[in-house]
Amino acid sequence: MTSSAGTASHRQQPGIEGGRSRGRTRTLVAFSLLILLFLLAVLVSLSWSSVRLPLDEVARVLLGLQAERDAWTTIILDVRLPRVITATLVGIALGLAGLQMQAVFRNPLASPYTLGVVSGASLGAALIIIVLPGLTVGLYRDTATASAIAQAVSGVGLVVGASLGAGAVLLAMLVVASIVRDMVIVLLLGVVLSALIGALVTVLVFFADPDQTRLFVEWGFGSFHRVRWDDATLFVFAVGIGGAVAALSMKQLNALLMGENYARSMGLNVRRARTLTLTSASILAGAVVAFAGPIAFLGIAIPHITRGIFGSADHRILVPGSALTGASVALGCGLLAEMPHSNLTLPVNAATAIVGGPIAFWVLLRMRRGWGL
Amino acid sequence: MAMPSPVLSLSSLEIGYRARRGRRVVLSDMSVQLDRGEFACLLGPNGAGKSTLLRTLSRVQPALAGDVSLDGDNLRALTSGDLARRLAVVLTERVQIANLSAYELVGLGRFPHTGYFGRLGPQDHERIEWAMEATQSGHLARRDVTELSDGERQRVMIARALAQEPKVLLLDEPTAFLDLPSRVELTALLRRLAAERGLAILMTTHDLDLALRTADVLWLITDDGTLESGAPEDLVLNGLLEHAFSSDEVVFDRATGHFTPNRHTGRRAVVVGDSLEHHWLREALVRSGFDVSRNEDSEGVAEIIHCGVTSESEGRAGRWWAVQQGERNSFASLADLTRWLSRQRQTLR
Repeated sequence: MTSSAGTASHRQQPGIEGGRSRGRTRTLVAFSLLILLFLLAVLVSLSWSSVRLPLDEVARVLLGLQAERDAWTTIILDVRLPRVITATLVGIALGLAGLQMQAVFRNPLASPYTLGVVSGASLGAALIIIVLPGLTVGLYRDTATASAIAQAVSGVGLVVGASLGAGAVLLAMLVVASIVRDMVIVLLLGVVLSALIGALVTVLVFFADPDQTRLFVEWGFGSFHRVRWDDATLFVFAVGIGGAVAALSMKQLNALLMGENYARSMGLNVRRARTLTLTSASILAGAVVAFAGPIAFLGIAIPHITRGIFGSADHRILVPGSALTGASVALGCGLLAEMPHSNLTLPVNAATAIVGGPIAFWVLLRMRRGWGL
Repeated sequence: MAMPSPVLSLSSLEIGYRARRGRRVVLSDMSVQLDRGEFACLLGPNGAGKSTLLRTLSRVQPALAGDVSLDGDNLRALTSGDLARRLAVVLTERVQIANLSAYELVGLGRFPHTGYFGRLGPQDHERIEWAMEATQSGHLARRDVTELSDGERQRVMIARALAQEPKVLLLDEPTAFLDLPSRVELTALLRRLAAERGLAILMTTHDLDLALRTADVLWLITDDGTLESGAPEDLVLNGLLEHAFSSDEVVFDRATGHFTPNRHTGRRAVVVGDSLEHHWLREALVRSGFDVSRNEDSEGVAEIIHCGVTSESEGRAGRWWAVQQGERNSFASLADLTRWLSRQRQTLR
């Protein structure tokens, strides 16, 4: 939308003064539109689902007023709002983590999951779903108690298991990243580690019974439904930490645009910046996988979509931009997954690719030479 | 008269790599200086240690022994911020960043001067504009870095380094990918920046001709593993340049400052005359492997040939002539002449 406007103003303002203000209008317009889009997405997500609630009623509930029916208040506050918050946090987290990973690795294919966080989390989930019930049956010799425990465990237990798995892998990879100098090697080690852990998971699934397999596969689809108000605080906290690090490291990420050698020559402590950024990205990705499952695609696509929207490589724009874009796109995916006016729900991971895929495709095709880092 | 104090000075510097067993010394016992306003070229054969020296001077790797003083302070004692405000680099890495304007790229150079969020204040913008003007890249400000030609990008990269407001500027083969006019322009720009802005500039290059004609000082890596410095002419006269670059294949001509392929062919061409045509005839003969002279001294010469330019009055077909063993040949162009010479040589074999 702005490339033609850009060339027009290029003609009006040649010279250095033009360089100073290039893209300023576009940035303002894009931020305003994204904020509007986000608010719209929140309202529509609260209103549209299996049952459609009127928008004004949604607004009344949000403002703490009495809704027409009490049931609506319950639906909005206890079912839909947690879901909307989950989707928003997932979008923000994956957008920021993807941006950080691509900046640190200077690679357009880097994603929040590059270091193997997902494989670690899925191992944790597989252990909880597949191995734990077997253990409890062994301990209690009473199928009823055992299945009750399994029931309890599959909620909170899944979150705990997935976070422990993700945490173990990210710690291991952070140690590797602080020892190995060459980031390409770090990236490849992440891929290798993922494959190794994936093999373990395959073995577990192979020996699981069909119900467990189904539970595990469903976990892999991702969902915005799993977070209750009680867990939300922890999720908000994790995303808050990651977001704060991203906000404080915008300058460092900009210096890394030119590569580690130039960044170092300008006085950046490259190793520290790298470790901090990887830690933050891993916490963000780990939190997403723990609370919503391995939400696919958004982490790699959101930063590219954001670069396309803003036409900028400046992380002072891309950090807030990716958070906003990520939140809106994730809400859109959640909305699609709910299949409004039907009793069906799609796996979120199908929706992320269906919504994110075409946008990313369009943006990438429009991209000029170079890829934005 | 007060001597200008050197802004970069190396004393008994030894550089190289620490390996598991002992260390590998690349260059040692280097004691040279660079003053404000001086433009120096660092010369040396491939693999001699030019990049290692630049990496050591920019503190990417530690020195093995000796000291570097940068603007009066020991390099080792500076904080990374202080170092970045005194020394900037232009590396060989090709910087390609989509969606980044040249102005923003130069702005990245303000890194060591800005606050925690990297916000550019009015003073920062002033320095960016100054740097772009100084490198004559102001008109590129709005352009995407990816759209710039190699020469334009190199000027912007220098502007970025200038925006860092350093005292010393190190450049690693900045002319390597440029065509000849851009190379001459860039070198002239660096020389002017050094003189007018009081910068000390050190660049590595393989372009000996250009270095000889533009540098204030040459830093020459010698084959005994140390560094000599001096005015280009000094290094020609004392034979250090010749010694550093001559080999069995190439000889350095002290009179012209040129390198020529060393061919012990025992073939001599005699050319008498001083016109522009005669000059290029000689060049063509040298290129074809002849030792060109003005007299017929045939001592130690296996083959002798006379060449010249046909005068208008002779009215012959060819512009150039060659006489070999009494037989005269005419040629329309120097290409025909050199082609004939190489055919002669093949039949002789």
